[in-house]
Amino acid sequence: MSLYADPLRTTLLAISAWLVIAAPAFRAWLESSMAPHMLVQLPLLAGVGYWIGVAWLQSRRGGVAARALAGVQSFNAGGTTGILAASFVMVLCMLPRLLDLARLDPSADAIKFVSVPLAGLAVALSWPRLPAIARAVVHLEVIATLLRFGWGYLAADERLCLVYLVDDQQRTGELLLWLGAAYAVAAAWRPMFGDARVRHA
Amino acid sequence: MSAARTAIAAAFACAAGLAIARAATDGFEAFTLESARRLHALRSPAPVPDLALDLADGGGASLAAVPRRVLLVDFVYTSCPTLCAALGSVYARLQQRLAAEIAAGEVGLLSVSFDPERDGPGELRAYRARHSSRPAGWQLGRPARATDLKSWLDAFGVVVIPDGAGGFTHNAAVHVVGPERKLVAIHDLDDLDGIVNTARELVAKRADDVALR
Repeated sequence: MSLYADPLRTTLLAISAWLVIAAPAFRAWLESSMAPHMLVQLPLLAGVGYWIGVAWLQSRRGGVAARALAGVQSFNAGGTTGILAASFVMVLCMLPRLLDLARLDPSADAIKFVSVPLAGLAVALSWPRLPAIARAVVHLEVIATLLRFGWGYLAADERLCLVYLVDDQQRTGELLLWLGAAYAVAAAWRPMFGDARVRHA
Repeated sequence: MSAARTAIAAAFACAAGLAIARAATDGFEAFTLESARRLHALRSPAPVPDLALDLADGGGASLAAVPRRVLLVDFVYTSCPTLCAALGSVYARLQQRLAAEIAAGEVGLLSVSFDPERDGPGELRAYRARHSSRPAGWQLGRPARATDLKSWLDAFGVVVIPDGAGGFTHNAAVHVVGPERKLVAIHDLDDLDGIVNTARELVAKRADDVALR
């Protein structure tokens, strides 16, 4: 894929994307309501890290980046460490308390802007090493988390986030349920209907 | 080699993740900011700064200068059609239930407007009159300056956001400020019994303190 042709260029592009997402005006806009905060900003931030991770995996053999990668990955056999760390970061970021803090406390937002891309990076480094069964467990956990949060936000009678309105919260809950359903279909599609060769590619 | 390192690193990631989650949720007890501020008030009451207010009945006051030992503080804006109207009737009922404590000068009710531009002294007095025929023990005021308003809201953990229809949405509650001007409890506005009990306990505690001296 041309997007990943040059690891250095890809990394620079990803960093530029991060700078755009972090630009005060854009950040305020995405965080002004709950749905884009959770469903656009967080995935974008994770995506930036993932993108850098994929580029890192393609770094030139013998180079500094490749040696650093080998060092990092020696702590990540089977992708266990990376997936665990990423799970903690992503679940915490979706809690109502931390969504509020991200809006009200600039230092909490700064931590989010660093930790979520790192979670994406960890997934990129870990996913290719993850055994098939572990991947299935992760898929299930992602689906369950999206549905859990979606149902929680949709069913709550009171406002869970102080900085967001209740209809915003309910819309976010509904979108999370749809996202969970879409993810479930996407994750199940290849093993159920796809070409077996694709799975082992 | 890598497996052993990974086991250690993964265990560390788990331990760190749990520790951070625990710290960020007050021991897995407060997953929302609202429950967090209520928990903090109960567990470790923080002193409220000596904030200034322009009173609807004339003059200014600061929290420390109000002579009442126990203050029940709420945040309203008088053009609010929903929660603040409910808070108004809660305060009218508190006036009745705590009449003895109010008459003794122990308990005071204080409503702070977070819409100082629209809520002048007249609007605030009209708001009180809509809910109660007597002003006894119920003071209202607005922060004198915009920076004061922010200090008031921050000190109590109140978050006010536009509701998209010209009004505001806010985390409505009754905040109990005890002796030494510490925020000791935050009650739901429909928890009338809880508010009355907390106020009476604080008054009784004060009586005990006096007796001990």
